[in-house]
Amino acid sequence: MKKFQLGEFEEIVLLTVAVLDQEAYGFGIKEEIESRLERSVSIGALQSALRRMEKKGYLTSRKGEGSTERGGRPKLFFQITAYGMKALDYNKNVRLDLWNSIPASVSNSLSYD
Amino acid sequence: MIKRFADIVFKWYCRNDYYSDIRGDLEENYLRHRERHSLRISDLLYLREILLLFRPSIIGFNYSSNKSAMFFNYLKIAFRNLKKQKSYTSINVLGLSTGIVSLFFILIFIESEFSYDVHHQEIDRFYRVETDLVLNGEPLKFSTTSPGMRERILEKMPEVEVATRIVGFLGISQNILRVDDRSFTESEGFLADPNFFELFSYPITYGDPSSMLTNPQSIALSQTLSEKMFDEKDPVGEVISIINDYGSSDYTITGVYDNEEVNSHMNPAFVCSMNSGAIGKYVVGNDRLVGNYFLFTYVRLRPDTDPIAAGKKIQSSIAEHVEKAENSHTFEPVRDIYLYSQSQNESGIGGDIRYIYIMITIAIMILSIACINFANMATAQASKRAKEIGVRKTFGAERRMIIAQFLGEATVITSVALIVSLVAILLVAPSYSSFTGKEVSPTMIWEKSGLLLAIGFFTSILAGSYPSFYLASLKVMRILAGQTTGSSGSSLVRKGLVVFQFVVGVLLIVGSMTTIRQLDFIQSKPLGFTATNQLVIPLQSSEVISELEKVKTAFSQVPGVKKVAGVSYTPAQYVLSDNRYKTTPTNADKEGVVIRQNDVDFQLIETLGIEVLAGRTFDRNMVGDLESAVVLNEAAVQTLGKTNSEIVNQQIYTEEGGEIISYKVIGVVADFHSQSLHRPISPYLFAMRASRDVSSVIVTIDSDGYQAIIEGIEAQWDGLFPTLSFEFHFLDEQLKALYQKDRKFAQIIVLFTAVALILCLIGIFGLTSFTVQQSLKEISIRKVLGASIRNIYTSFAIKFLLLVAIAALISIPTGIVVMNKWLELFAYHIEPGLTTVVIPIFLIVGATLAVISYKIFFAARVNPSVILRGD
Repeated sequence: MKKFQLGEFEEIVLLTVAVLDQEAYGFGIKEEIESRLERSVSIGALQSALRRMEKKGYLTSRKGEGSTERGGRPKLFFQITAYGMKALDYNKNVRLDLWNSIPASVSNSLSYD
Repeated sequence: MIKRFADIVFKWYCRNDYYSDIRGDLEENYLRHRERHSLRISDLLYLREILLLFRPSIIGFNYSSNKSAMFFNYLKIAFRNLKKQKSYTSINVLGLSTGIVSLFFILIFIESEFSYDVHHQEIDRFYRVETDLVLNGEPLKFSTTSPGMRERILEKMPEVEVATRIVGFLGISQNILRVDDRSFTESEGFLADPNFFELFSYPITYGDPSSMLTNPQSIALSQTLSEKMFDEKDPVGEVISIINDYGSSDYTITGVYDNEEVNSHMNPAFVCSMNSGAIGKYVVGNDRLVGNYFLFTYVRLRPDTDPIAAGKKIQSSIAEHVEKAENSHTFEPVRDIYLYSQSQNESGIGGDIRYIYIMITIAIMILSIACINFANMATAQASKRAKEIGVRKTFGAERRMIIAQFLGEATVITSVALIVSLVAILLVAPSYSSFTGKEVSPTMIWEKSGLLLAIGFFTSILAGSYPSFYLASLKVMRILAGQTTGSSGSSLVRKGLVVFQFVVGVLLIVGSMTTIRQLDFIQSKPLGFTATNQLVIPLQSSEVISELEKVKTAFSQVPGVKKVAGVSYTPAQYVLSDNRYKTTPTNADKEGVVIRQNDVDFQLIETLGIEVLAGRTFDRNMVGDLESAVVLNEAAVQTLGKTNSEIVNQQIYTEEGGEIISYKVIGVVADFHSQSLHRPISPYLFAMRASRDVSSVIVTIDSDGYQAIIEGIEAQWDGLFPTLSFEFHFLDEQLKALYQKDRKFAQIIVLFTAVALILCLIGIFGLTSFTVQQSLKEISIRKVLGASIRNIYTSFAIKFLLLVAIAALISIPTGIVVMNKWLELFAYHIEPGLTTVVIPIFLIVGATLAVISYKIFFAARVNPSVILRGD
């Protein structure tokens, strides 16, 4: 099976785009990640991740309407593609696999709460 | 403001298709920040976003614009051109990088020369009290004051916040520091008041600076000395002995200050508390305000004090105490001491601002020669590039775009030169360090890369602007019609630049020749005494001095020793001691003329071989010679207003400690140079006293087998004083050390002169090759029509020689002026004749002829048919 190239930050962005569904555009995504993950995201990091994933085919984009807030500039909405969903799914499974392979002795002795 | 700037930057680098969307996000983000932060913070956050956006996936230059597309074309053409004309490129790169490297080293040298004393706290209010005197009608400036100065100004002048006294171990050239059974010799030791470290800020390694010098017999060591004596250990609390002419006394170490990280005009190896015996006691108990100018007084003035007015105020505060004081005083900024001080008795070897000016001039000359080479060759190339420019213009290139293109090419060459320079700098740095004694590490060079870039940028503008404006101004119609030879205007500028180069070259040769000749002159000038085969042996401690006769007898027994005599100041030392003398006993203290006095021993005058003009020298068998006899030099006799024969067997009078004392003049010697030739010969006397207050012995030895003789003397010394290590110097080498600064300077000038000359020749070589290249057809046709190689050679050489002739006319008068200015620094100097200017011109002419002959002969020997075949 072909491997899906998806970095940690890319994965978060891709998930957020999926969460936001039709409303995922640059600044919106940034705000969403910042509020959910309580970390700051630079526009540079976000935009380069979005464009990279668009090139890889995980995302598509369409032009929206401009608003005065944005100085009249149109929003560029992103949507996850089926291929993107597959990449997310693959990543999730890899992790689950790993989770399930942790021996009970480890998970029991190192419980935290 | 910041936001607008950031926007421009962003628009410049962002990919066009991403631009409007990302800009929108940025705006929204900015609005959000504005809700929470001030305008300034938001702007900065915005700028941060822009900087973080600068990543490969976002950057994309705007290809749709014609101008940016051409940018890449220009770059491509520039590289192709540079590759195509390898010799042209390498000459330019070589020239420019030589210029850049020279400038770089000169600049960092100057920077470090200006870094002296900046580390002291409140440096702007830190001053030294200096003394101005008029001695025998000549103004004299001393960096020292009388001992009572500090108390007086603290008491009478509220402007003075802190004042400290510093005094060297007077008349002592060396101190022996002993810990356990190890000995170390140090010359730069001082005694200072307890508040010394309040004014002089050093990083402190051990101890508390505020109390380091409070207790009697306490001593602070410099880092260098501490490491020498105790390695890395904390020496606080250890007891060391200092042994010198005054005897031996014990000191307790209270701290270590770091003298290595900072540059200061005064670099003491150790500082003792003023509350110590001998000189300390003498200073503390001495409240004289006039005379005894032997100690330094440093002060911090209160903020907003005018140092000039304050300096004048010292007079009135002294006047209350002493009537008709001979001395006046000034506050000299400590920051300026290292480079600007002209005082007689400076505490260390200073820099010299005049040398710095000269070095800056040389640096500018070298860089300008390199730039001129560049500009000359670029404009000479015009005909080659003319068609390209014509075509570009026809296709709509604007004038400013052509200018940008050629400035860009200059930048490309400069960038290459910068890289070459960087490598060269790294290679040259170790020799620079060992030559100047100033360390340059690769990290330091890295830190200075900004300077390097600035030099590069400046160079490319300087070198590139004339050719680019010239090339951009070419007329399309004329170019494309085939009139490619540059306008007469441009060749005039080119000739002007060549002339300028020649002038600079001649001036530099004149400068270095004068310098070399002056130094030769100094080193070979008859000094009035014998300096060769003379050993100077410091007597080190009072113990040895009291045994002077024994020492002399012991040394005389060594085979090969001709003469031995004690002296307090050797001819290489600055004579600190002086007094006022008169031929009548009244008012000697006020009206007498100042004569430097050197306490000597029997046979000293003979040992040094000074010529006796009248009377006799000291004689052991003459009653009274040991009590009150002096021998004057001619200058002293003249200032006293007598003739040699009149003065012999007369008395002269002086005042010592309030008593009038008379001395009998037993002889007159010829003037001799007791100081460096920077200074004129001053009135001088040799005095003989019962105490025989000498500090060294001078031993005349045979020139053959001096090694064995010195070993013999050392064996005698070791037999007499087994605990003191034997030391000796050669008098002529000590004298040489007086001109160390001048020699260094001469070496620098000669080195850079060579660099500049090579650059000049490279330039001429480049230009000739080019002219010859252009004239190959002309040469061929001339040959076909019957011209000999000689004819062709003359017709070309004359063009260049004409330029040299013009340059000579300009440089002869300028050279003479510059030379005399420099020679004024020496009281005794050569009289530069016309030859000093004429020889450089012949040198330049010769070198130019050699370079152009090489090119022309090759061109002239080419078979005309090869060249003319195509026509």
